[in-house]
Amino acid sequence: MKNPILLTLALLLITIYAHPQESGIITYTVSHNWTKKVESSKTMPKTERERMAYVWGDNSEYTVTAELKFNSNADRFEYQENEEYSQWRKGDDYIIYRDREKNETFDVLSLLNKQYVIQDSLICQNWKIKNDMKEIAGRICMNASYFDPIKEKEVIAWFALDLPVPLGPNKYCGLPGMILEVNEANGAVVYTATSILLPDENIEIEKPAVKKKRKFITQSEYDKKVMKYIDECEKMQRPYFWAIPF
Amino acid sequence: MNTKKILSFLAFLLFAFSAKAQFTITGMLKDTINEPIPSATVMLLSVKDSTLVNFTTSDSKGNFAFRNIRKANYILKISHFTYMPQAFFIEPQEEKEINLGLIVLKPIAHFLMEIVIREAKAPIFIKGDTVEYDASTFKVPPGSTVEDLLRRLPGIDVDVDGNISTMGKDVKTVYVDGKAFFGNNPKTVTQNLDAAAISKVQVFTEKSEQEKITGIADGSKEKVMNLELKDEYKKGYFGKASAGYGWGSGAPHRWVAKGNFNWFTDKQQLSFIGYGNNLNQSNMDWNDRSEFYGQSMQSGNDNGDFGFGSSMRGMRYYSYSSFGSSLEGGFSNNGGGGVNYNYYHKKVKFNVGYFYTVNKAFNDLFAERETFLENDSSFWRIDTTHNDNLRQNHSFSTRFEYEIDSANNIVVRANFKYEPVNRLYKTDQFFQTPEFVPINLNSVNNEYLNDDVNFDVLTIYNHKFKKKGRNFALSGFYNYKNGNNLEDINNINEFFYGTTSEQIKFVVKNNRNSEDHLVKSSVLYVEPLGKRFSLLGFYNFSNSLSRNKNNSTDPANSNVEIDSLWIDYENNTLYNRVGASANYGYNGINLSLGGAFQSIIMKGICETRLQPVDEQNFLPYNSFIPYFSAYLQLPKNVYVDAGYSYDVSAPDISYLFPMPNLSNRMYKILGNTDLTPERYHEINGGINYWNSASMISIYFNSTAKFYDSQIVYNQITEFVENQGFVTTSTPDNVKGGNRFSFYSWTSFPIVKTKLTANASINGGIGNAPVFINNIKNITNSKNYGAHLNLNLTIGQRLNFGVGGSVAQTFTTYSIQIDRNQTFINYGASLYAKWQVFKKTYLEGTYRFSNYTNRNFEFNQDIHNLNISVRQVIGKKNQWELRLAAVDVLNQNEYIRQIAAVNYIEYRVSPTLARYFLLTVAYNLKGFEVKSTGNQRVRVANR
Repeated sequence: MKNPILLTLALLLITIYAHPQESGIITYTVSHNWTKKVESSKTMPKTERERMAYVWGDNSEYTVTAELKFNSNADRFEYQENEEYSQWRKGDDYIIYRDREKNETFDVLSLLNKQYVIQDSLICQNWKIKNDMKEIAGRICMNASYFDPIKEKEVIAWFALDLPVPLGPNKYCGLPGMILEVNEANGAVVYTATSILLPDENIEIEKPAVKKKRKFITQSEYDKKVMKYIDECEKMQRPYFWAIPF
Repeated sequence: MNTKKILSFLAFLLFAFSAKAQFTITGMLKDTINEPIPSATVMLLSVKDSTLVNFTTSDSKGNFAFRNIRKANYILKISHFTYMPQAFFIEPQEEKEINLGLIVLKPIAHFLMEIVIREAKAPIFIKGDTVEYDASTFKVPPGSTVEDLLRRLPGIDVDVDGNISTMGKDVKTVYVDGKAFFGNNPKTVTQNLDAAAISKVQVFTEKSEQEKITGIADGSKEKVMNLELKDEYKKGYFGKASAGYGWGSGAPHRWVAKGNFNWFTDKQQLSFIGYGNNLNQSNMDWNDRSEFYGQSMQSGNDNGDFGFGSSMRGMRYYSYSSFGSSLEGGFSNNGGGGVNYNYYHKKVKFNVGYFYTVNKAFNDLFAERETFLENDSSFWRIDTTHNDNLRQNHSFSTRFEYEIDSANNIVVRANFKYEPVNRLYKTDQFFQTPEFVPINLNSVNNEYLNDDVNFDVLTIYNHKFKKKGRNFALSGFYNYKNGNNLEDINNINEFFYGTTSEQIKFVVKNNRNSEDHLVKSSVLYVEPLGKRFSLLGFYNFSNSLSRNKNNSTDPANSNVEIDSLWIDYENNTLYNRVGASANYGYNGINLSLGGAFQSIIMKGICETRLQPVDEQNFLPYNSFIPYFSAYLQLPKNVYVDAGYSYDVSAPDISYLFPMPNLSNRMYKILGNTDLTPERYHEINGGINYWNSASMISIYFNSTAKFYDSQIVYNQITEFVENQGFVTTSTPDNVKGGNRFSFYSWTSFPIVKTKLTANASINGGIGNAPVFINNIKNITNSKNYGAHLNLNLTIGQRLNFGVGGSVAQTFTTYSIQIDRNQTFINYGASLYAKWQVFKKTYLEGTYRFSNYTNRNFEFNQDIHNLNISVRQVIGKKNQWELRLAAVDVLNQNEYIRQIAAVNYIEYRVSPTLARYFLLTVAYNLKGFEVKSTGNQRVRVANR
């Protein structure tokens, strides 16, 4: 924590998380566009990227749904079972769970054939605030950007100006309002809120159950594994996102 | 204490001190009618890059405050969902508190909020006092001008004369991409520019020239409009062309030429390709194919034959029709070209294409064959064969897919092919006893002129019901084939065994015609039963009508028709199949169990000159077909699949045609109208593992086939006095025959990203029954093969590979137990790719093959060496020069060893060997040049 801005941010986040907030359930559709993923890839030769874009064109998108549940103490993001795909293919584990009261992550996910729990203190992204406004799921949002240094992708988030909850889909958080849309790498992956449920009573949020064998690691240990793999892929001119999430 | 420690101590002090230098920012928000604005978002951003540092919200009285903020310069930004955002620079000096006082927020204009944001769902972009929005969300008919577009835009008024105003103020200037356009009359732009070219419309207040210079507002503000043009990144073209000339052995010159050009927009793709060479390259490679077909590559196979395992989840397969030479070895001249057009727009996918290929090929083939008969007898045959083919193919295809709505989808596909072939086949077959005593010499000199036409059309309709997983599909298919074959048969057999010698000539002209009609239709219905189970039912109908005619004349007898060779045969095969399966699919476990009832009815009518009409009616061939399949996704990326199926299929018309094939008098092939369907059980299973962390992958797959009834060619070989060994083959149903085969493959790194290995082992065991001179012969065969390759990458610029392989085949025959055969092939290879300079590449490959067969006392080594150097030229890397030396040692040869039903054979043919080729290539977009620089270093600050 040598960076003073990071320090301020961390202090600030503790204060934000300490604030009691209402609870809710937000449903997102998550669209994956393989052509745009490939276009954004720096690991593949340019001619190969262009060829894939030409051959696959618009027909390379699939959509899944995900849900973010939050209450005053905790929040949990996970993908929902998709009837079209889940029958013949079982998805990898991916649950993002944050206990804001204890300032602790408990992310249950698998990476490169191994299953982990990321247990660490909460850290959000360094957002840059932009100046555009649009409506998502009936709410007026403003945008912010973030550059993911590990996967080297530009992320644009749209946060609601009238829903002051600093949360969002996947691991995104730390904006003055609930993040209702995230656009990664110019549309390669797009999370869009489709419904916002804000019940009066506090909803229960379960901490993910894990088997005893699971390995517990920190966020930076996890990031190191991801970076090591991306570097290996780069040497072999192969996109990393066939094997690990984009 | 060293300097470093002192410095860090000082830095710590400075940090501690600056942390104490804190201040407070306060302010109050009100709207234009002096009402307080609660719950506005107030953010503190860093001046450098707008990074969010802190945020708060205004309270019920519109007050906000940031307390104990680290002293630094900030941007303070206020946003609210109904007010225009505002920003202030905060530059604290000595003061402990900065009070911004009363801040008045302007509401977002009604038209922006209600029409742009809420109704058109378009984002608005705020840049200072400018608000712009995405014009593409406001639809205007194609061909409309910008003026038509502006009339639709909220907040902008266009009068009858085309004058533009916004919020009561006239727009006097229109910029395009921020630049003045055609002087000062905005109407020249708005009435002439195409609306489709516009992506954004901005309206803002321009400061007067005077204000720009003095910085003092003079009040005379003018409304200005800026039209931003669309990014045309989805439009473009690419293409390349190359030509090469060279010298080599066997032919005075070698040449190659190739060119393609592609033009595309976001909706359309148009591509042209043309190629020609005399380098035995008769097909486009994969890259050329994918560029030529573009997005229509994805719809390569529309399968209307619904059945077990049918799914409508959009599984796609690639299927290519292969053109070109089917000759063994030899030399070929090739040419071709085509045009392909794709149209893709939301609900419509349309593709149309034409392709022409021409292939002129010839070869000289030398073969030795030993044929085994019963009682330890055998004979030898030595062939010298010459083939000369000219094959042309015109192929036209079109496909139309229309998504009527989210529930209904229709696909119509049609293909038309015309293939004229001119084939010359000459062979001298020298028959000998096992002691190599000559028996006879059979010379065949035939010419064939074929004209084949093939047309098919397929329609598939798919309906998804409201209930998720409930599906209905219907397909219809029609196929027409017409073949016209003119055959000039010229057969001379000279017999000189023992004391007699005799010559028999057989010269005949055949005119064969075949016509086939096939109608197929299928229905599929899927009903989900809860989340995990589903029922699938299907019905298949197929009716084929084939008509084959032959009319022969005798050129030696003034082309008189030969009555005994006149035939008109018609066959009708009717399939009906109805089936159902129960499927379980959940959490990576997929099981399917089903059964079908199938009925095949065959009917044949045969008319000859010698015999009146002979009608054959077969009883319906009914069978029950069980089916099972399993696909399991186990933890840690292990996939297992297993399946069982039973296949019952009607014999092909070529087996049924009741007239002998007389193109070679020593080998007659008869038809058999008494054939029954072929039936076999198939069991397959496999396992697949991929570890993305260690990059190890393992694949294993095996298949077993058990025949209840197999159609084979039974043979009768007789020694006919004054002719020699005459073999007559008749297709017939035999019971038995099994085949088991497996294939396994693995790939793993020895040193990650530097040294990798891949290896495979495959094998098979089988037995095939066939009757030789009415005695049942069982050919048992065993084969295995293995290979190991290593690939070494040194830095970015050097790549080596080394590999070895071995394949062995053992064959035994039950009629002659001591004729066991063993073939062995060894191979070894070595390659190197070296990026010598940034744009210079050197490549070399060396391949060694050895063929061994003890029966033929045969042991041959072939060494194959290729070297090439490539130079990319030009600033944009658009040119490439390549010099290649192919088969430097001039040893290339085609060699095959065959152990079949009751013979063993060795075939060899000269083919394209040493040549040198200089090629110049031009690429519109430039050739890829790998960067040779250091790896980027990834920095993650978390």
